[in-house]
Parts: sequence; C-alpha cells; structure tokens
Amino acid sequence: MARILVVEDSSAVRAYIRAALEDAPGLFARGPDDAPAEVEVVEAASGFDALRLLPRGHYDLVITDINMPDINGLELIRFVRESERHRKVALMIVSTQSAEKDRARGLALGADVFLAKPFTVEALRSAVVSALSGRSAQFAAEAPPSEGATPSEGSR
Amino acid sequence: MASNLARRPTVAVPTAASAKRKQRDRGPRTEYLAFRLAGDVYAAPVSLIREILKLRPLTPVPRSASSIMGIISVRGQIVTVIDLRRRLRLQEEPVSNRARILLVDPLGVETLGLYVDEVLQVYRLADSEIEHTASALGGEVASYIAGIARPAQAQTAARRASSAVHAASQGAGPQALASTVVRHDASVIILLDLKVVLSS
Amino acid sequence: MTTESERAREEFFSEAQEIVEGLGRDLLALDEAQKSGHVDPDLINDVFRAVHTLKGLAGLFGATRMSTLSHELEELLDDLRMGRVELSPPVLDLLFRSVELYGRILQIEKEGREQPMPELDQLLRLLHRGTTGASGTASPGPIIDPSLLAVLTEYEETRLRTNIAQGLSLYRLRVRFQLATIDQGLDELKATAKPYGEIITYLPTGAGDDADSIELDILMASRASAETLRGALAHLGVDVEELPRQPAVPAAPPPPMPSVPARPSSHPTPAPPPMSPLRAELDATGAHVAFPRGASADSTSASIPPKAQDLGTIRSVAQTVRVDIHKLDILMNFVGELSIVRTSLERLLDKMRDAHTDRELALNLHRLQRDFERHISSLRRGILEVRMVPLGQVFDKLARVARQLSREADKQVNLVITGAETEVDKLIVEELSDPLMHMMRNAIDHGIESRTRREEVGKPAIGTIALNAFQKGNHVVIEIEDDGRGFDTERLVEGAIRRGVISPDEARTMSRREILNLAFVPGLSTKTDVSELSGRGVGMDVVKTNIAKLGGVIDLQSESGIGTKVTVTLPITLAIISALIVKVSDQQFAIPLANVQEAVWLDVDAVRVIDGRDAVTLRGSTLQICYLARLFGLSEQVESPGVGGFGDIDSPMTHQPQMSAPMRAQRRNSGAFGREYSAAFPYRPAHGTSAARGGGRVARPRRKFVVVTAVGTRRLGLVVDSLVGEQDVVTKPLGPSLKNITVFAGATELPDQRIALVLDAPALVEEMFANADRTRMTHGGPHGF
Repeated sequence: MARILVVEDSSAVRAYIRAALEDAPGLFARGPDDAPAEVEVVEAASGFDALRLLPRGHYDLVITDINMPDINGLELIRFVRESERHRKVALMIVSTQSAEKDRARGLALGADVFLAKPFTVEALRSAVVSALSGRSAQFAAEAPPSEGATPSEGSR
Repeated sequence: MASNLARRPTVAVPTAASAKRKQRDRGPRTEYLAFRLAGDVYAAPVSLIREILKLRPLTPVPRSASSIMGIISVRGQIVTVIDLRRRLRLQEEPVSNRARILLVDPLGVETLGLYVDEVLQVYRLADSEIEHTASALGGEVASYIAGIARPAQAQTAARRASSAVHAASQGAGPQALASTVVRHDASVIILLDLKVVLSS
Repeated sequence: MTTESERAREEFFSEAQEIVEGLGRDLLALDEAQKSGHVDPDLINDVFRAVHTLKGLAGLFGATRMSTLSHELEELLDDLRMGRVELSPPVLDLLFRSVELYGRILQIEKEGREQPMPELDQLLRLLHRGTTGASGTASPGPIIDPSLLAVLTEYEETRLRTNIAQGLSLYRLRVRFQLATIDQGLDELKATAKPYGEIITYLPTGAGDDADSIELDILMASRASAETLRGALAHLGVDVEELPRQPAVPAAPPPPMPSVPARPSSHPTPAPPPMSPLRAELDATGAHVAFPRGASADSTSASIPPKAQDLGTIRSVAQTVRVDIHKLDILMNFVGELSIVRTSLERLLDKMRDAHTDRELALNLHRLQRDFERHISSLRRGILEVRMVPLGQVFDKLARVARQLSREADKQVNLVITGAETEVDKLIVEELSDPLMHMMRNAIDHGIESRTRREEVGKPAIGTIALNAFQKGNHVVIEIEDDGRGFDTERLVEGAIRRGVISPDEARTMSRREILNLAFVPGLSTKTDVSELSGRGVGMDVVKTNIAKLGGVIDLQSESGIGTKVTVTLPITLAIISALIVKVSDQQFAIPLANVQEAVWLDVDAVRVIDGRDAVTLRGSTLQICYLARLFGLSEQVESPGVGGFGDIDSPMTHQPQMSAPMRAQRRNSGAFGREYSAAFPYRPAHGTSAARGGGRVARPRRKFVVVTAVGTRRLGLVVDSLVGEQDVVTKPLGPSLKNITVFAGATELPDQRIALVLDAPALVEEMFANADRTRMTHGGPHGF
C-alpha cells in the first residue's frame, strides 16, 4: 500500500493526479515479489493542510506543487526534511519547466524528484515510481515549448 | 455525480458459449443483442444498450408523438419509452410478460427506453456474417437498417430459456444473456442503426 | 473515461469557471481603479496569477485554445505588472474581451464541440502585437541571504527584489497559530496587514515541533515604520522585527547538500530546533518571544478592503464548499420521498380516525406526524438554502456586458446595482443570464439615447441603468430600469396592425399595458435603425419564453421620453413545489399550488359557451373552463354511483372550495384535510340525471371538479374527474424528446411507482387564451386541440 499525500491548491489538478494514480493500481510494485501495491491518495489543498495531515499518518510520498499561496512547496519540503518524523518520506515537487530556480532550490532542499508542468499521466506515474523506489530523477515537461521529454537521472 | 443510468455493462465473452463454438477466425466480432419485434428478430450493438428492464408502470403522455408510449421512472429519472414497433411501422402484438424495455442512448443526448416484444440473446457477429444492406436487399432499404446478419452457426448454449427471462428481470445487462439459450436459432437478424431509428 | 478522470475533468471545468468569474470581478475593479488613477499592483498580480493558473490547468487537461489564450495573456499581464506596459483603456478592453472568450471557450470545451473561433484568432493577434516581448530579468539588486533565498520561489523572489528596489522595508512577523484554526487566523492577519504592504511569503520556523500549532515567520514589505506595524498587529499576537536590508555577512552558510541538512545558526545549541533562515539573518540575541496564539474568537472582524465593498461584489473569505448541484438534486429527491411518506401517513391517520381506533393512539400518531412534517420542512428549507446563490454572480457579468456595449455603442452609461446579495436558486441564476443580457442590450441599444440627443432633450449626458433585485415573499423581483427614450408605442401598434396581430379598432381601445405587451409578440420589436448589435435578434418574445420556463413573469413599463422599466418576477426555487394531485380519466396529474386559486364543484349544466369558449359564471365573473380529459384525448370518466358525490373512492378527501391557495397552505400544515364542502357554493348538485349537452355518447357525471388556475390576471378552470390531494412534489424534467409539449412542466413520481405529469399552468393558460384570441381574429386558426 503506497500512501501518497498530494499538496496542491488547485482542486482540478489534485483530481487529475488522483485519477492518474488511482487508475493504475498495478503500476506500483512493491517488494521482491513485485506484487502490485494499492495506492491511497490523500489530498491537501495548501501547505497548512499538509502540516495538519502529516502528523496524523504515515506517508510514503509527498507530492507538492511549488507555487502555492501562503506556504510554498519549497518551505514545505524544508520543513519535512528537517522534521524527525518525516525525514525519510520521498518528496516530489512539481513546477513549471521554466522555473529553473524553483527546481534547483527544491532539489537542493532535499526533494527526490522534480516533475515539470504540464505533465502527462505517464510522466506523473514514472515520476511517482521513481520517487517511491528511491531513485532521484528529473522529469521534463512533455509540451512542445520545452526542451525535451526524456527523463534524466539526477544525482542525489 | 454521474447518473446511475450511465453505468455501462462490461461485456465479457462467456467461456461456456465460446468453448462450444468453433474458433475460426472470421475477423473482428461485434456483439449484438437480439430481440423480437412483431415476430421477426432484430438486433442492436450491445455497446449501445445500457440496461434491460422488465415492464413497469408506464404513464402515457398526452400530445406526444404516436410512437412514444409514455414515460417510466428509472431510479428517480424520467425516461421516455418509444414503441419500436410503431417507429418501424410493424405489427403490434398485445403486450406480454416477456416484453422488455431496453435503455439506450445512441446520440449521447438522452437516455431512451425501447419497447421490444421479447429479448432473445447476444450474438457475436463477425463482419463476414453481416451483409450490408445495399447489396443484400437491393432497391430501397430503410436507412435504419444497418445490415442483415446470418449467423454462421447455431449459437446455443445448454441452458433453459427461462434463465434469460430471469436474468433480464433482475435488470441485468446484456452480458448476462450471452450464456443463455435462445428459443430458436435465428437465421436472419435485422441489424438496426439506433441512431437513425431515434433521430427521426 | 474512468470515473476518476471524469471527476477530474469536472473539477477542471468547475475550477476554471470559478477562476474566470473571479477574473471578471478583478477586471471590473481594475477598470474602476484605472479610472480613478490609482491602480493596486496586487490586483494586477492577482489577475496575472489567475491567468497563470488557467494556463496550467489548460495544459494539463488538454484545452489547447485556453492554453494558447492564457499564454498570450500571461505575457501581456507580465508586461503590465513589471511596468513595461501601461494599463490603458484599450488594454483593459483586450482583457475584458479575453474574459468573455474564456467563458465561451469553456462552454465549447464542456460540450465537446469542435468549433472554429475566429474571434479567438483575432484576439490572439491583437494580444501578440501588444506585448513588447521583452522579458525583463530582475537586476541583481541587493544581496539576500542565501538561506532565505533557498526557500523562496522565483515569483516570491521577484516580489522581494521589486519591493526592495522600490525602497520598501522588510519585516519579519512572527506568530504562532493553532493548526485547527489557522485559516481564520491567517485571514485576519492578512486583512489587517494588507493596508500596510505586501506579504511575500510564510516560513514555518519549525520551533517546537508541535502537532497542534505552528510558528510562522511572515516576510513582509512595507513603507510603514516598525512601530506602526507593531501597533497595528500587536493585538494579533504578532511580533514585528525589521530586517536589515543588506546584511554585511550572511549569518549562516547556505545549507549543504540535502542528505543531512545542517542547521544554519548563529546560536549554536546542542540539539537545535530547525531555525528559520530569517532568524539566521539577525544579529539580535534576544529571544523573540512568540506569544502563543489561541484560537481567535473574534475572527469575524476581518476587514474587507474597501475596493471590493464599493463594487458590491461578493468576495468570499469565508469557508465554503463547492457542491455539485446534482448532489443537491439527489438530496431533494430524498426530501420528496419523505414528503410522500408523510402524506401517506396522513391518509392512514385519517382512515384510522374514521375507523374509530384508539383515540389516544390516534392523537399521538397525529402529533408525531406533525413533528415529522415540521422536520421535513426544515430539511427542505436547508437544502434549498444550499442551492441559493447571490444574484451578484449574474450581475457582475451584466456589468461587464454593459461596459462593453456602451463602449461599442459610444454611449456613456452609469450602471447602478442594488440587491446583488439577493439569493436565488442556482439553476435559475444560470438560466437568467441570457434573458437579462438581452434586456441590458435593449436598454443600451434602444433605450439610452446618444449623448447629443440626451443633451438636446435636457437629460444628463450620462445615461443611467438601474439594476435592482429584492425578495418579495416567495418570489424574487429583478428590475432593469433605464432613463432612456422609452418604448415607441406608436411604432409598436403600427407594426402590430401591419402584421395582423391586432385590428385598428382594437388598437384604439387597448390599454397602455396591453400595448406594451405587444412587445412580446415575436418579431415585433421596434428597430429604428439596424445596428450591428440589434441585428443579432434581441426579441423580447424569447426573453419572455425563457422567463416563463423558470416559472416567472415579465412586466413592461415605459413612458415616452422618460424611460423603461422591465420587471421580472421569479419563484425563489424550482426544486420542490406544492402541488394539487388530480385524476383525469384514471390518470393522475399534478397542478402546482402556486397557480391554483381554488377548487370548486361544477354543475355541468351550468356550462355555457361564451365567445366561442366553454365558460361558467363564478361569483359573478366569467371563468373560462377547459376539459382536461378532452384536451389530453383521454376518455371521460363516468361518475361512480353511490359514493355520495365525491367521485373517488381511494381518497375520501376534498378541499374547502372557498379557500384560497395561501390560506389552504396554512391549513395544510395543521394536518387534516377538511371534509366538508361549503354549502355557500352557489351551485348545488343537481339531482337526477343531467341533460347531456350536445348528445355525448358517454353518460356524463353531473358534477365535476374544477381547479381554478390563475396566471397573472387570467384565470382558467380545469375540469378534472376528482381530487386526490395535496402533495409536495419534486418536478423532474422530461427528456428532450418530450420538451416540445409545452403544457407539461415535468413529471413527478407518486408513491406507487406511478408517474404524474406536472402541468405547466402558464403554458396551458396561454394556449387556451391564445386559441380563443385566434378565433376572434381573422387568422382563423383551428379552435380546439
């Protein structure tokens, strides 16, 4: 069972992510027997919501948007990484491809995976799989304006 | 919240029936639900049929077109029921307890109920078994006929006809009928183009 | 599509719609601001962010047109907020047009249509030309502590640098909130701080890793002094500290690579709680005590920025939930079911009473039944309230349209809106925007005169259109009043005579009101000049039909040279209505009680033919009647003998015929139906067989029920076979296949799974009177059905 916390202020994007992850339960294999895991998606509409939810449960992965009003995603990442309890949680950040600094800062603060907007369902799933399996990676946006669509391995 | 009527039956191939059929590759097959109207066998693609209902209280609507039988309530929604026999200008037999209402929405605009005298079974028809009308009947053919099917072999399974009725009465989807028996082998099935039938 | 992705798509439309609406409001505010010369940069930022969000959503959900439009708009808005482009009226025009287009694009996307949009291409070209294309990168500016920078997004960094460049001071506001109430607390803080400057970001300090509360360092830019800020925020438990603009030396090294984040700290402590990067910037050694902040009791005092209040638009700071209206429909269905149960209970109780059951038991059950009824009423009211939305939604849109139209028509118009907070059922609001827009167009196009003309006749150069809404009992009244030239009644009458709608004789004797009502005859709108706008066909007949569909009525008042006033009266809600269930030839029908004046006995012998119509005299005046059985082509019922004249064995109930609907509604709540029928009714049932009128083949009953319906000033008596009773019904719509049958408003489920068609009284009355009218005229239309 993979428990994923999605922190994003747009309800449409949260719904999109939920649909992408819950509709592919066989995607997330866990353990040596590769038995398909179940995925549970929990939604938080803001950084504060996330701070409320984090102490209440165990999460395998936190997906957070960077640009949110009030507490932005970067601050959330730092908070999570510096907290005893959640230090080991995999972190994925989402931001627009052109926001170079956002990406750099996010990864510097300890995020495992960067996913650029707009992302396709496939890119999202790949990113989640990467994050859960402990590899770090960067996924570029699939849209034409950006450079390319090949995920590259970043170094931790 | 999607309406309950939007529930689509998943169409699965019953293994019992297919085991009995010779698996000769005749090209891609489409499933059709066959039903009786005025003594003849007609059929429509299973994918268009959402539900099969047993007859229930029907309220006639004054001033409606003559082919509109009336309205029924399906889980709180008001559905117009159309008399296919009148639509196709066929003979009208008295209503029997084998009659059913098929819920369809081919135009994606409105769920409608189609009155049929009896629901028969599901046929898996390969394209080769269907004659597309122009050639088959020659001359003027009603635009609502999509084709004539002559099923290659007897598509029967060893179960009682009553279970067809039973399944349908439970409001089952057409797939439940696929593994039940037909009264007699249909030698000719008239395939209907529901879009045309209902858009006039 | 799976249900989850369907739901995601629905969320997309819902959210996009909300954002576009917010955009519209913001643009109106910008318009005002631009006129007054004082534009709040925050407002432009809000607009930018809204468009940015739309771009993101569009990209994700594959709405390419929206994506393209957003992309262009974003560049323009970026230029605007960076000061590269000035906010001038033409620029505002582009923005307004874009918002309109967003709305249309969303509509098209929702319906899944593939439709070319030339107006979009045109707008895109204009937008593209307008942008300078220069993407200015912020000049390096002052050095900002890297540990702070590490947690700022690009956007926040830009804001920070811009503020510093403009000479504002930076402050750190430290405050602790309880997580449970943080939303209210934050809102209050934001509202209090906003007049003083801009809040850049919120940083959790991580001090005291408490699961229930959180301490925040809020970075704020302001021109005010520290003392001023302290004074303003002290009551919220906020600690204010000014940050030196250029720290000589970063007090801490940037955090090392992620695996083990070190604690940047100028206060080495053995096991330090993670420190806020802001603290690291300070030299101060004193403990900055953060006052623990309990749940704020006075969170309601959040002040709303005056701008928003001026416009009378609704910005909700409160906690709201976006509810899918279908869920509400389902809830309403349940309430309907409960009502049906209640009615059945009531009948059972009556039967019990007749059977002389245990009196005390009957009384108790009766009391219970009344409680039940009260609770259902409360529940129903509660759900209806959820469906209610303020008219402000549609008024905002009208304001935008008015602005656009007046610019296009080159007329100056002042729009005054009152009552925007009046609430109406959400479905009604959605259907209202088209009719109201038509009327707004009429007012601006044909009503308000040109500036020169107005000056000629001594009116102020700027025309006024008043948009007014208020609640009146069970109805909502919306008025659109202009001080223009008024309806040209002469032309109306001329046109009507020319088209054979009325005869010259009738024209002479028509009242002013009747003349004005001619405006509702299709094709009769007066067009003095064919402008581009009026060519779109703003027929008042369409407006009237749309309003009638909502169960409302429309009224016109006009004075030549002075102005015009259109009044629309609507029922507050469509959902559950009280209806009278009647039987016509074994089939049941529902007649909304709102249209029922009374139910009376009719002696068939009393029917006369007056003016070609069946009518009776009721208390001195003529009442046209209509035999529903004939109208619907049903067989006429033979009166069952030996039932004492009540006509229906099932339900031993009937109505006090003299009681009017409102009075009866009150009595209904007390539970029991009256069984007497008033002896004061002038017609006593005839005894013996009645003389069949005109030699009908069926033995007609001597007495029938007539349900007197009233629509406006017209009355029509509907002849039915029997009354079943009163009931709350949920009118369910008929499918498109039956929508063309105007006399039915829908259908409702009865307890025994049967269905009763709900009559559309206005349509029925309209038809019967139109039929009668037509026979009077030379058209010679078919009389009857």
